[in-house]
Amino acid sequence: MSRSGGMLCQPAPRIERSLCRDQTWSACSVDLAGVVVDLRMTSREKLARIRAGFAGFLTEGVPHFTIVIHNERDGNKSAQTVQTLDLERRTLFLDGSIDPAHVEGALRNLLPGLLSPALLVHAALLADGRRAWLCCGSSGSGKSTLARLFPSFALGEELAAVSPVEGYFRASALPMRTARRGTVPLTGVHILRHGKKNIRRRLPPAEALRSLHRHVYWPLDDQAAFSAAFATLGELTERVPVWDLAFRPDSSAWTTISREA
Amino acid sequence: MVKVQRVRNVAWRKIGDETVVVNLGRKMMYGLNELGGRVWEALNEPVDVEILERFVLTEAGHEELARSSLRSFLAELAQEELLLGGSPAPADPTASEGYANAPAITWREEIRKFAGNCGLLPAGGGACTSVPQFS
Repeated sequence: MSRSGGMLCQPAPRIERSLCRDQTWSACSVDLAGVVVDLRMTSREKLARIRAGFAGFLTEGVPHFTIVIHNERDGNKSAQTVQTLDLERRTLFLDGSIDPAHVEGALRNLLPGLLSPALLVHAALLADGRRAWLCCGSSGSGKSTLARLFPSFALGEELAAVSPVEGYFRASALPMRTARRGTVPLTGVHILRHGKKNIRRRLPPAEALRSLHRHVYWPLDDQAAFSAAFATLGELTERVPVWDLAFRPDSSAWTTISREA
Repeated sequence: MVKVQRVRNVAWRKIGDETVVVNLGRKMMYGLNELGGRVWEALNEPVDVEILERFVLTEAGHEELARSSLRSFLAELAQEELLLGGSPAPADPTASEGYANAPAITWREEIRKFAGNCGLLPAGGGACTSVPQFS
């Protein structure tokens, strides 16, 4: 992907702000943990698929960032796609054979920088309405298992954002796999692994940071964004309990997860 | 007199007794022990190696070990591109091996561009290898 200002010379697509009314360009806006991203493309059919995927996260809010998709043809995931990031206009242009997966990939790459100083974490997010717990782990560690065991508490099973607020941290669900929009004060973080019984051990801050950083999507292309996100992780591990959690995959796990520190 | 200073473009944070340092250029994260963290803080400005040696001697209590452990530590920092101008002197990494009071990098880990599941959309996923990446 090139980061050039060349696209500044191209006219921006003229579209209505109201969702999907324009005859040429269709658009929808998605709220990703408070960051509103506009998605604009000419294919109504593909936009409809994307809208369906982001159901519950669509918004009429003022966009912070725009993704413009040119020349979309039938999905061919292996075909060449050119990405041009125009930082000045906070717009990413996708040009070529565009599959919705490419839009997802672009968002996945953009989000760490867009959300900073918030952290983008590979985690299930469980909440009881006033308290939230991040349950982090690599694939197979039990994130989806927990989300299925406790559907009424699950806001998301794969991806969450953690934002520093004055005096506390809040966790927001992001639309990946099964997710519901929601933002709740963060009470604790669990690093997951399967076990024969439910045992958790609180990690000292430095060990917590070392464990947790492996589950963060870092904005590696942006020193300032990285530094801000790193500061957030440092504060988080000092102020919010981080636990190593071995859990038995049944309903008994909830008592351990939601126990006060 | 040989002066040393740490590089500027790094993120770092003291957490408990440890100091965690990130070299984004190398995409590496390091944990320094308590004495290593204190030396790191002293490296904020150009500082004489001899002054650092006296500082470590105060903590370590053994002159030769203090000197060799500091040199090894500075050499390690230089190797990880965390020191401006490189290492002030070659060090024998075995000279202070096993010495508990030595300043040291206690762990190091690569920071990876996350390789989790693809697809923010419920219907997506499984296309990681074909999703265009930022270069």
